[in-house]
Amino acid sequence: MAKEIERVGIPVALITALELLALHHGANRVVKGVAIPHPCGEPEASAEDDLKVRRTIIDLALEALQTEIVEPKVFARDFGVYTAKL
Amino acid sequence: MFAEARVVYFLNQFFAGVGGEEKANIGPHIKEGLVGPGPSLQKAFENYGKNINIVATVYCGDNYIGEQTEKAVAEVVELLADLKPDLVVLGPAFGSGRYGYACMELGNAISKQMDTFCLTAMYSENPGIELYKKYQNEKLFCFPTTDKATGMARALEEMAAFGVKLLSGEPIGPAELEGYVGRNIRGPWIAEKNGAERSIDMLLARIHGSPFLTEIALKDDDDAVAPAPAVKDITTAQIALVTTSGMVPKGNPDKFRLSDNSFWRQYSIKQLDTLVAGEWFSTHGRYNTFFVDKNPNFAVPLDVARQFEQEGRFGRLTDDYYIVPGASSQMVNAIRMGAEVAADLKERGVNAVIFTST
Repeated sequence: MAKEIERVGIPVALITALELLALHHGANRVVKGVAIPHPCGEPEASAEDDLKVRRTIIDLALEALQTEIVEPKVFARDFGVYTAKL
Repeated sequence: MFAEARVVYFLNQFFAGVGGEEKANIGPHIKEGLVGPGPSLQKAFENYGKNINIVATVYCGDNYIGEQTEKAVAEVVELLADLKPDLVVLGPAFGSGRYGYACMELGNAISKQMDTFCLTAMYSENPGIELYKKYQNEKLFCFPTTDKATGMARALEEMAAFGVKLLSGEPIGPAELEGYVGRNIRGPWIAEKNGAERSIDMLLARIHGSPFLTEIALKDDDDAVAPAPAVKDITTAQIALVTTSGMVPKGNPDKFRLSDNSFWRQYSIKQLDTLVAGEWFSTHGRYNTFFVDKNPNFAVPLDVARQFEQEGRFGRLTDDYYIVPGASSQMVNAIRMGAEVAADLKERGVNAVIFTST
């Protein structure tokens, strides 16, 4: 899906915890999500910390969308105390 | 079961005994009865004690088909119409590229246009095999052969056995069991052991270095798309949210199923700053949706996207988000829907996509 969108020239930041599978299927800008059932958040965190995690991920997605790449790339970032779960 | 069946046999000019390269430009012709490997194929059918008759042989020059495929295919289909075949056998083409191409193009067209099973055979590296995998035609089957014609007897035997099965209307099993070349078509079948048992068997086989077969082969990506250019000015960019997470409005108005959906939708988020639990839920049947149902922003991160929009981090958010199927979709459907969504995004002037996948 993401691949077909990039095919028409629209960059896609694909947020997923399955980054290798995404690369295998031809995604170009892959953003490492938190976990398969909750890619954009951390249910165990307080509401405030969860929001920080989500802001970090969307910030990274915006960075990915603005990065010129010549080959597929995984964008990953430290989520503070929740990084250990990655 | 069938009382009797009519088979038409297709050969190139060489195997039909018409000539070699000097005859490769001749157009399609019919010969009554048995030509070239025809008698052996007929005998192989007779071993099954059924009334199966090769009623005619159609042959055509390799170059004629290669150089004007559309015209040649139409001519062959026209010749076949009067012969009313129940099954069309083509080849085997072995390692011959042009012959393999001809068998596959004809087999694909004939099976579709005449609603007839087609059966061919060729070497694994024959370029016809690539076409076969691309067409994924459920009425076209190909058996593996040797590179050279030394494997003729075995190929005819295998085609005859499988041809009888096709004509009998018996259910056809997966490629690994039936012996034909697989073309990545997935279908339901009844397994003796459940998934947990099969996966443990597979794991043990792997640990012991024994052979095993995966049930879902991952295809190598032979159609890579180069990265799209980066967004030049994010502050004016329109960004769309797209998701495979199954997130839909309460009540699931478009009746998305738990898996294998073949359509996509867009739902308005124009007036919204967040997706509230209870108002939205996930219809995806292939992951634990407990977390995203409690906080739909885990799947469609509208709350943060809206904050970023208001903070001027990017231009604006598209008025709708897109839900595309992610649970056990057929690849062919996924590609079609991906292209449809891409066209829609383009039309709306979307500059970039944040795509969430569970």
